[in-house]
Amino acid sequence: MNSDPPLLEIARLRVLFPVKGRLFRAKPPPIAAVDGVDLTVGRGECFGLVGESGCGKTTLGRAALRLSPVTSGSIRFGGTELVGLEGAVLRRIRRGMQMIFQDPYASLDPKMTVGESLAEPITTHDVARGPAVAELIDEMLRLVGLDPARKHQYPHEFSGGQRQRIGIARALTLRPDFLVCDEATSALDVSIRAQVLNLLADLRRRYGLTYLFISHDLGVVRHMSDRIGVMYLGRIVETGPVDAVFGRAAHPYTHALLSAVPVPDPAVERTRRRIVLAGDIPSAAAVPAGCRFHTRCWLFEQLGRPSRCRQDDPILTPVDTAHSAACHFAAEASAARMAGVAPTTRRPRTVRVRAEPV
Amino acid sequence: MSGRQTRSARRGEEVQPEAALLRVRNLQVRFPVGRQTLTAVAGVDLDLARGEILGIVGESGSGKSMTLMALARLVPDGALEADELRFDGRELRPMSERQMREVRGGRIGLIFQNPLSSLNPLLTIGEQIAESIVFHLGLSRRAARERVVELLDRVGIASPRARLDDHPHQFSGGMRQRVMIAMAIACDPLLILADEPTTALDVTIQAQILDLLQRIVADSGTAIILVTHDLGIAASLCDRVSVMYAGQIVETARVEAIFGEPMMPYTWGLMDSIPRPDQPSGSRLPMLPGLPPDPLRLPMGCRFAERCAHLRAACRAAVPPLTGRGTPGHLARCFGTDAEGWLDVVS
Repeated sequence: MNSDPPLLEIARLRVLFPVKGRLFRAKPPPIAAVDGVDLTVGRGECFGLVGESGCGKTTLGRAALRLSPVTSGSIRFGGTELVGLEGAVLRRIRRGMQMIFQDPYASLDPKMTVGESLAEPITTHDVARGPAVAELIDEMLRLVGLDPARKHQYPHEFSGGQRQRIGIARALTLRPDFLVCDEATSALDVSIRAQVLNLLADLRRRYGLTYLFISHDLGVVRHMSDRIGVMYLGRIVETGPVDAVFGRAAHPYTHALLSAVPVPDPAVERTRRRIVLAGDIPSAAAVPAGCRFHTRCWLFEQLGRPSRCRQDDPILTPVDTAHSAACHFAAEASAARMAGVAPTTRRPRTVRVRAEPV
Repeated sequence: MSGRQTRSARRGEEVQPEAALLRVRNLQVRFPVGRQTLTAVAGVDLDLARGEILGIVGESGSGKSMTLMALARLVPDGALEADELRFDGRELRPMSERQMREVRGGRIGLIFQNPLSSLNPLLTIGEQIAESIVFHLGLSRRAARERVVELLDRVGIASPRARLDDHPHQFSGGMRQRVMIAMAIACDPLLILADEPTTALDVTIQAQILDLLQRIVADSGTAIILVTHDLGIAASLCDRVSVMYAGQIVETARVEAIFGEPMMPYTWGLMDSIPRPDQPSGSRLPMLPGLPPDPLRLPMGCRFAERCAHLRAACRAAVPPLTGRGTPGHLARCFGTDAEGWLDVVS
């Protein structure tokens, strides 16, 4: 990577949510949605965060913007500590950090025209005044590939992909350095998804934006990210450069995730061995003791259920340059023959235009 | 995976009309919208062999779910029209609603995306599955209960006897989908209609459900029509795949052919726009420009024309018919790649 200080530095972050107690019962302990996460994102980098529902990836993304209550730990953005900041100072810094949501429909006011929705952050933060507001709105709409003439229309008049473009335009009006994209393309159809992914990649190149890219879709995360983190029950269990994590997975959960995703290639699908994890994802209210993954771990079973996995909570330990995994048996996991996604056998297709008949 | 071999033997055969489990000709679904008519399904033909898994893929609004609903006659009366809708040798169109109820949940099992909305929250899991068994198979309550235990065990629910009296909310999303599958297979169906059965589930849970569906087909030879937007699922589970666009099937072929030698520019676009592991990260994805057409303002000619990179005047003049391509059973709706067309595909 580079030697500049990282744009975002998260250390030992914990986000606990209180659980409502029941009358005459002992108050249950809080749920740790994020349970001790360290994460750095360099300027201009795209860090991908993958994991299944309830793993804490959305809470972590929101916490990075101080939108989730931080219980303990540190979040430094551009060198400034955000934990403990309040009011105007926090608001000023947060201008540089924006979020793109899965469902832009839910984040756009249906009774406001698109132009009004875009004007709101501009006037609130006093980015522009008078005619400059309209100019900025037009510029933003053009930037995301929409006709500025449509700013007088309402959200329901746009398709899902177009609404996501509006969401992106709205996030960009304050000229942020950092965007949290939370399942930003998950609600979109594949052909529209490619359009929005290309737009996000273009904007990143053009403005040197930094992304925290959260998705359950491993293919999309792989395509967008430089480095990734795999989350399970509030922890990052594996992190590293995208090719290292996807190519030489060192955590049994990463292996299982990679093998679970069906790929659009029948030849690969016919021959692949899928690791089918037993059981459901445990609830964050009942995190298993020892390694939190051991209750579903195929390697734990393969190794004869070692007591270490049931007793010691593994921490992220380097397995290679910049590549770490939180597994007592990372070496065994790396060596597992059920390695990641098999390379596709699809050959590139060429379409030739036939010579015109005379 | 043990079912692969028996099925691949079946896969290559031509479907004989009398042997076909399902034969559909010119299926149409239309709804009045204000003073206009919205055509959600515009003339779909389907042939399904016993034990075959057919995938219907497409994007939202392509008519894939509506096609599936229409096959079970789950669209309002008057919306459905067809020249033929024959299941297991019987024409479904003239059947009364009462007769249809016997078919649905009996010889045709149904699995939907969101099991919570199809399960009754007030009834226990045992009661709901038993109800269908009593209705369709005429078993006694006691015998039905035993069959439910057996079914829950078959779909991988641990200690089934203890969970009989649980309500749907006491099950996780993956477990509920297993319950739905147990209901769908309760009466030994010949055909399961599955609409995005794993879309609401996490990938590791999805893998469990796909595994289960594969085992059911291998054990019982049930045919499945699987509607999905996920080409990966289609590639992993299906024998044949039909691609739908704007209410029409635009391409149908055996799974190897549709992924190996697709013959319709929309299919190319769909496949190319999925990120591939061998593409460098952050590189531009090939993408289809624009949007699908407005179903109330469909073009005269090819419905994909406005987004197609290979468009010619002929494409705007008439709707291209579904015609044969390279391998037997491979059909595509494209003037460019048909015998007289202007496109050569080199794979």
